[in-house]
Amino acid sequence: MPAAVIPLRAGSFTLSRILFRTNMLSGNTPEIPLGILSELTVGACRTLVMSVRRELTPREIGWLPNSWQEDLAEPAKYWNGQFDQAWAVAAPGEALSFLSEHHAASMLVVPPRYLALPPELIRAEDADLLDMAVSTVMQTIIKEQDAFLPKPTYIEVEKAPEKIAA
Amino acid sequence: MADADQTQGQEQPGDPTIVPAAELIPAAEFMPAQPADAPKHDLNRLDASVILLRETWSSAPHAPEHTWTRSGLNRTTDSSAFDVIDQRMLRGTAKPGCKLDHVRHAAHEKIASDLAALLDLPVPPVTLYHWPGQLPDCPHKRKPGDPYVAISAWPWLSFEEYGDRILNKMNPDQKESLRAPISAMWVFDTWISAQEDRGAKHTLVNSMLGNNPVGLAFIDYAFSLSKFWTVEKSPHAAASWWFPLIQKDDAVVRYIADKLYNLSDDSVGGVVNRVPAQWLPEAAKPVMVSNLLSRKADINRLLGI
Repeated sequence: MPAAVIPLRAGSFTLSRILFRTNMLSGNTPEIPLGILSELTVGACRTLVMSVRRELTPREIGWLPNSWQEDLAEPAKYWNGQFDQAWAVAAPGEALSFLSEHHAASMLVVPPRYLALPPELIRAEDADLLDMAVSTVMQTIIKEQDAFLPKPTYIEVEKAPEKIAA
Repeated sequence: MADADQTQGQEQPGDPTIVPAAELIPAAEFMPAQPADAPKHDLNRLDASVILLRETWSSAPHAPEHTWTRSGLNRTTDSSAFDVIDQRMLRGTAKPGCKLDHVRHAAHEKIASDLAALLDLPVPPVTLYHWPGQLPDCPHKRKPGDPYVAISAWPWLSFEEYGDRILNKMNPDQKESLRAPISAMWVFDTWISAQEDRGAKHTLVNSMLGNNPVGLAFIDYAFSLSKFWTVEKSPHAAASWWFPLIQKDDAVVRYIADKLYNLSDDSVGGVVNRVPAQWLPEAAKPVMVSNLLSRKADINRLLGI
């Protein structure tokens, strides 16, 4: 018997952007960046993270149709509810697909990109797995946020299980 | 970055506030020119420029003046649709995104749109398109791309799916304005045996509410027509009424049923028979035409009126 058996775990790692397309008839028009989403599942662990803008500029609000101006003046308020629903309703690994299917019009959750699961997560000890998963997603979100989102942003994190038994 | 094409004209890393020149103009100024003498459409409230586009697209299977390129990833929906844009920056959506099944997704979308155009009902224009060259696999369904697609134009500058969020923004008159187009489209969906749940998805609402009658557009007709009609006189009853909060307008139902009944058989058959065989095999056409004509003749009974 080997001294330690390395567990190999399956999982998925997805990343999406949230944006508002102000003109669906023409592509040469403003698109308002709103947020970033990422979900990682590995073994029994699941984490879903969202970074979303706290507010839009007056000019951006002026680009919105009247029915969206109130809800998107503070995007974090609107997206908080969408995030909670995706966490509650979607199967693990499917939260971004769920949101993408429900937001495919002017408000767009870009179809998720599938990222490679980091090898260290596949081989991690059970006790370390959840923290490593959250850390991996946060690093990805922050990197993507720097390239896409004006600040300030609001970050929401869900994870399960809350703790892994020692 | 794989998503970059979804966010064109957006950001530069490290300086997300950079604004392309196009963004300096308010979005409303990008609204396509609308002719002053545009006809009033009580049921069809698509953008006037989209109605003009439909006049062209619904007259032929193809619209060769457009050269399309992919502008987005495959969605995770049944048809794996993806966004496209033409050489003049007209946006649209293409489906199917891969070789899926035996459902004729593209042909159904095109035929439904063209039939709706005959009745001036609010289904956005659709044209058939053949993708040249190598196509990417769908990353979700892991199937090869399908070169024979239908491209649908979008109905307005800004829209969303029908649901509580937008309903809660409407005033009582605007909610009342939903009855007529929904009632009209119930007749249409019954005619072509469309089965999509329109209360949950597949119905778009113009987000620019103002104080106007609300614009509705009905999309996603893959699951209709030959999906259910395998023999002549297929026994499909009236479409479901997906809108429990909306009361059916019997006058509109009768108006559209009469209009449908009086469509010429040649115009209906022509819409189906001109679809090239790459999108719809010749062998499938007679049954489809036969069902369209028999259900047209029998529409009052199907509707229970």
